[in-house]
Amino acid sequence: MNLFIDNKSGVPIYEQIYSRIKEQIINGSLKENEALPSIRNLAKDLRISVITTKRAYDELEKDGFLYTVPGKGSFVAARNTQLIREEIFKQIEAHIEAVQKLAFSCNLTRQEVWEIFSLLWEKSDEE
Amino acid sequence: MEKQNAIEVNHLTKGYPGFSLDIPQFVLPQGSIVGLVGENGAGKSTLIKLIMGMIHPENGSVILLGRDNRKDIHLLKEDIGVVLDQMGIPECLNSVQLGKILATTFLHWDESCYEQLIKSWKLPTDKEFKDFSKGMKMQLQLAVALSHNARLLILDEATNGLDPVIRDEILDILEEFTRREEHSVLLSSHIVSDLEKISDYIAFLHQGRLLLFDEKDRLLDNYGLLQCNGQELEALPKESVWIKRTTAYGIEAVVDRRGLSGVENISPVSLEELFIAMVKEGEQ
Amino acid sequence: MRGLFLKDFYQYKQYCRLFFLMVIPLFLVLSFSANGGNTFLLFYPAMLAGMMPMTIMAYEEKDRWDVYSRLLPYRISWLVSVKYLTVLLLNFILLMVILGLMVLKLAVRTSLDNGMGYSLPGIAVILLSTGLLGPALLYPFCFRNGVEKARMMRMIYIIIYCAIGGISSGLIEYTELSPLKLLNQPIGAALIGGASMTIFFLSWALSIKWYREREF
Repeated sequence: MNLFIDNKSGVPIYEQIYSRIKEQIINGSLKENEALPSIRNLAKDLRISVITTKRAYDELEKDGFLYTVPGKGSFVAARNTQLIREEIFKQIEAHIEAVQKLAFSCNLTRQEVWEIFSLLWEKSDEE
Repeated sequence: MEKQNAIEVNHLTKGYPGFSLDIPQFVLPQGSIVGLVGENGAGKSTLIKLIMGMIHPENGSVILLGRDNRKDIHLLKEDIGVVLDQMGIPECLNSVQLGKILATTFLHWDESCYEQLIKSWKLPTDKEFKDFSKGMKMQLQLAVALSHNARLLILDEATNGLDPVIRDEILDILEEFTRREEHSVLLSSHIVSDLEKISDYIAFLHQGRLLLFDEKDRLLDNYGLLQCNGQELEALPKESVWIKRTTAYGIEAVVDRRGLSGVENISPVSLEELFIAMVKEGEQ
Repeated sequence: MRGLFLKDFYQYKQYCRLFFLMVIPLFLVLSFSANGGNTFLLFYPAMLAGMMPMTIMAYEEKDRWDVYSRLLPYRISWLVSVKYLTVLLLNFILLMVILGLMVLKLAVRTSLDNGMGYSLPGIAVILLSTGLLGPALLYPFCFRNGVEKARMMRMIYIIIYCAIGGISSGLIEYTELSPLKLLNQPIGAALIGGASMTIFFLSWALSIKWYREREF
């Protein structure tokens, strides 16, 4: 598992851990039922607080990405396609909002943006 | 299983001429590292002495590792490793003689651990303690504290005057020590950057009062540094802003992000900056 | 408690070598020499022996061991008792040495008068009293306030001791009276011996109480 924490970015550390682990679960680098490091060991290896790793794991469990077996540890939950689709929808929405903002900043119409989108989509279909 | 607190302080008061300590509540959750920060004279050493039974409180009680610290405290001391700023090892002893004395002192003295630490830190075995450098003296004390299977480590200003390399090593050791969840650490220092690196919780002591006790990461998430001009400052809610410094080019303030939604350009703040701002605010 | 004795032993080795190697033999030789010697000199080592643990206590304060030892799993009663037991031990050893020398002297039957003039029990009692009373009076103050502050008491004690010694010698020389003759009687010996021991043990208990209350 790859985890890089940036202390200075201003993004809360538990969020960074949450995002990185979620990413890897979604894209398959972390396999179903794979064991994750214990909350304590992860904290000590990364030199961060146990409270923070616990918070990240708790959120991941709440959102269905991992499950905990008492006495044994935490494991990657089965890939929930529905959850993953929702996740990806969210990301697409975020990207589209960013595109909207850019378009407004130089008065592009929806039609013009759609044309750009269609052209690019066709191009990637051909490849 | 309910997790026990390693230390519980209740309604503790102690007075001296010109200074008084008053702490309604203070807790060291088991398995955590608590950084106790405060300026010189804030009462950190007093609090630690009260915890260890070296001085007697006027009111209140201390529960150490689940037991009242007024009863059989010599048994509790088997499980507690203490490192003080001012050493207490007899000057004429060398590390081997000290080891022999401690082997008959502690029930669970780990001789191989002690020797291993001395070897890996390259501490002399034939020199008398008085000929050790300050750093080596501290390391020997630490070696002792780590070699009797303690569950709780208390370090009082133990890293003063040590170079950054040794300090970093010591922080590493404390992190490793708390890999086991029955192990806890109370680390008191006025070098805030050290505490920021490894603490789970921060307790801020100022003039004998506990101004703050919170999760370190939560503090760093909730507070930030904002630079603005006078007009922008006026627009912000006063309770969320503590002015740190006013210069000819603008105002630098420590702010509570929670009260300032929508404000951008808030950069991360260090614990040290946070405390300085808190103290200044309190003095106004 | 073994650890505490060991630590004290290391410090005696380091700081009190002179006492054990020179002072005691010196005084023993002087007091057994011609003219029967001055018996006062005989008991001076006993008094010094009683003060030895106090020297160690002074070093402990300088090293801040007194603070550190409160953080180690020692009972407070042990911290105090080690010093008192050492006093008993040192005095006992001294007593054995002196008695041994006296026996030797009798065996050799020198022409020297047994300038002692006292019986064996008498010697033993005086020795013990001298060796035990000093610590008994001083140590509680050492434990209560620290050795530095107790030094004043030490001065007073030495002055009193010298005064008694001087007066006794004077009495012996110029008069028929000898307060020390009292000691030759079993009752006298038992009384004074008993009193000294009682004071010593009371002092022991008081030291523990005061040390417990002491704050660092």
